Amino acid sequence: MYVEGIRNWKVTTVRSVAVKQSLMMFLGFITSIAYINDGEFTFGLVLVVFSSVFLLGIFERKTMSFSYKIAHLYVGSILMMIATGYLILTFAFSHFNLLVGEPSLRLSIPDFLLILTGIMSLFNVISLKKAVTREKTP
Amino acid sequence: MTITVGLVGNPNVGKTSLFNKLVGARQYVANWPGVTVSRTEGATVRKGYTLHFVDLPGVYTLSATSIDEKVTRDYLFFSPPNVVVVVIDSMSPEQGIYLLLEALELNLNVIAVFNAVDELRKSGTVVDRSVLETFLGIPVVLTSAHTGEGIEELMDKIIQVFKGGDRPKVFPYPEHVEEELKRIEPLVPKELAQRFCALKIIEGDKFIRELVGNVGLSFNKEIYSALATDIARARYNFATDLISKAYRSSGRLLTLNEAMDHVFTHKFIGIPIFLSVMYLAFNFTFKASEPLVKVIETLFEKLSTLIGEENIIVSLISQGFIGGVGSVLAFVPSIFALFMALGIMEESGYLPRIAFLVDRLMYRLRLTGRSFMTLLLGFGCNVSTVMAARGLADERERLTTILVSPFISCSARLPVYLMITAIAFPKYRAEAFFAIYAMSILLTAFSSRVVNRVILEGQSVPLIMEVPRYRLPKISNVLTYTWNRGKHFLEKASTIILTASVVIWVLSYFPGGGDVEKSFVAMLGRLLEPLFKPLGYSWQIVTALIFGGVAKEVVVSTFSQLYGTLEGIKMDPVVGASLMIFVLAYVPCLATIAAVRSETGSWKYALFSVFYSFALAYILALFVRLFGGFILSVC
Ligand SMILES: Nc1nc2c(ncn2[C@@H]2O[C@H](COP(=O)(O)OP(=O)(O)O)[C@@H](O)[C@H]2O)c(=O)[nH]1
Ligand SMILES: [Mg+2]
Repeated sequence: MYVEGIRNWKVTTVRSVAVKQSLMMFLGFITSIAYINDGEFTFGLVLVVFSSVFLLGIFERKTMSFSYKIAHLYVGSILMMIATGYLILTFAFSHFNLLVGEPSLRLSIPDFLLILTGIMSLFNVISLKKAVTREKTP
Repeated sequence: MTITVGLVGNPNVGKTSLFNKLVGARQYVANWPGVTVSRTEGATVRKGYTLHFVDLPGVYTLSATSIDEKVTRDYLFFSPPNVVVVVIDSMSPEQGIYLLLEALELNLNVIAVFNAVDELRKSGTVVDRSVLETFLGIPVVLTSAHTGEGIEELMDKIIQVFKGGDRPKVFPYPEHVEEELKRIEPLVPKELAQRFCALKIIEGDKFIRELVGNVGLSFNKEIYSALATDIARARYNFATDLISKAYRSSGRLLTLNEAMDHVFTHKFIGIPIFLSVMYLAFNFTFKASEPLVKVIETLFEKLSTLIGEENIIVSLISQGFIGGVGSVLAFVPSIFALFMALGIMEESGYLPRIAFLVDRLMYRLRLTGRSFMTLLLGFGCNVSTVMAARGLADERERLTTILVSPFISCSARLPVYLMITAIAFPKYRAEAFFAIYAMSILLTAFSSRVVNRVILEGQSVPLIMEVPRYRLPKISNVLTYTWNRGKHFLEKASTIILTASVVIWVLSYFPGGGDVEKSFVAMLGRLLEPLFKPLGYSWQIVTALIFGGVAKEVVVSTFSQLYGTLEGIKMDPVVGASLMIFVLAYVPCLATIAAVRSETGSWKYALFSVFYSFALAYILALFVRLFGGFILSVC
């Protein structure tokens, strides 16, 4: 058999995962709405998709649902980090605009919300990664 | 309506127990005495269908050496059931998966059943069914003949698969095996499962060898037995790999890879995530590279005004060289940035998974995830796809892939889109890009249906393949990837684009002596302008399109030379949109046409490609023009 014995995993409890998941989902959707409200429709839509990764985690009800919930939390956080990274890099690169005499970008309120979400995601990924990679792949 | 269902599996995996559960006490059970073993038949009714089950003797392989194996093999081979259910012991599945891979070669409808999951759970193990389904590409049902779990679902799946029509699956073997298979397959009579027979011939199955007759085996015995070993090894490796992906103890968490696979290949959210990530990649590409592009553009312009155009030589240099080639080179940062984004996605192991997500869709187009991977190459250069299509096992699939490849939006079209979006709708560049790439994929899909319907017939070879693990992309690898794809662009700039620019310069300088309005290009453009009148293209656009047939980047060179600079050009957004679509589709570039001709070995296909794409481009561009104009007038 290719399966290792049962191991217990105590770092994250079921409840803390559920709390994190709801929180991320809430933040994600709020940020998306803020962007859509600001006229950045497409980017808002992208964030809606990323936030629904958290949402779908709630519907994991089969066996091992706990693990799959964590998977959703983990990947959702990675996606949020990608979106934040995208924002920060675009912001950084926009300073090259000064070279050709055009203004650089300004951060808006939705941008700050996204950065907050990104920071939360970073914490999630670090804490989950530690827990998840403790187990070796078979 | 009656559906016959064969229960196949290793001995002692629970076939008979399942059979009893399936047939229940409701219907008759008949015994068919065989020589030493029997096959049992029984039926049950569900949803208006009569499911006629046949419980077959247990086998380890379909190479029949013993008599009970012969019963099973002969049944599958000579009186194939509508649906084959391969029963696998979920407690030790490798032998079962091995048999399953063999059964898939028979071109029948196959469902995999992992039985005795009750026992599996007791041992603290779970199996991820969606992983099994994704990587096997067939329906998988988890059952227990003891608790009755999954029995009803299995019956429903049988009806569903029966109604859904056959979806043959072919497992890919190492290349040298595939080559030999390709050689033997045509020698097997069409009414037999050709690939199955070819494999059995290599494996030394006496019965099949006799059945097929003398096929003129090219190799001696040792080489064939080496090939047979490789075949077996490939199957076992696949089985082991699949098990390690799908099985885990229930107390254990998913590994990073498993967690990521679960979400990224998710049934509902997988494709939206892919689209979102692509959108971010496009948008980042422009935003990051825009300032650099501007700097380079300004530099070339300064240089060009510095040189002036007093006399013919100076004009050649400032207009032909700097204007023509420089305008294309200015987009180099964007192109490298996009390749970098794609490189990161491929290096991280994300892109190959998308092939699995789209396999089902591709099958409707009678293509597979593997041709998807081949087509992906076309985003760099269509010629790569045409060449790489050699790797596709099935001839029909290869031809289709070659013929639809020009619709994949290659990097040569990038500068053109970059230019058009910058002048026609600077605020919505990423959206426009997203739309044009989506259009590119739709056209490819649509065309593969057309090609399949009009020209070709044959069967299809679906996808089972290895997927790399997720990993953090290495910067050095991403850079190599970016450079390898981007350098092609630089090479072209210094050869074909340079040549074309000089030709355009000559034609636009003479006979007017520098007055474009009186030049040869103006004559040419005006001559053909009426043809493009319905699309609203000016003679400059028409000229650019003509030269762009050589290589799409030349459209940009021509624009730059005819207008002097790209900065001041004004373009109606609707014309811009229609022009983008036209450029996407209108004709394959010369290099692609040549490649299509040499790979298909006939002008017929190359010409089809040219005329078909031109007609399609014209119709679509016209549609965009009329419909877009209508929408704008309403708003
Ligand atoms: N726990 C468990 N045992 C099973 C299950 N299915 C079959 N078995 C046992 O496996 C053994 C072999 O079953 P059988 O139906 O004769 O297998 P066959 O040789 O494939 O026809 C029997 O002892 C069954 O009781 C199952 O779903 N769960
Ligand atoms: Mg039996």
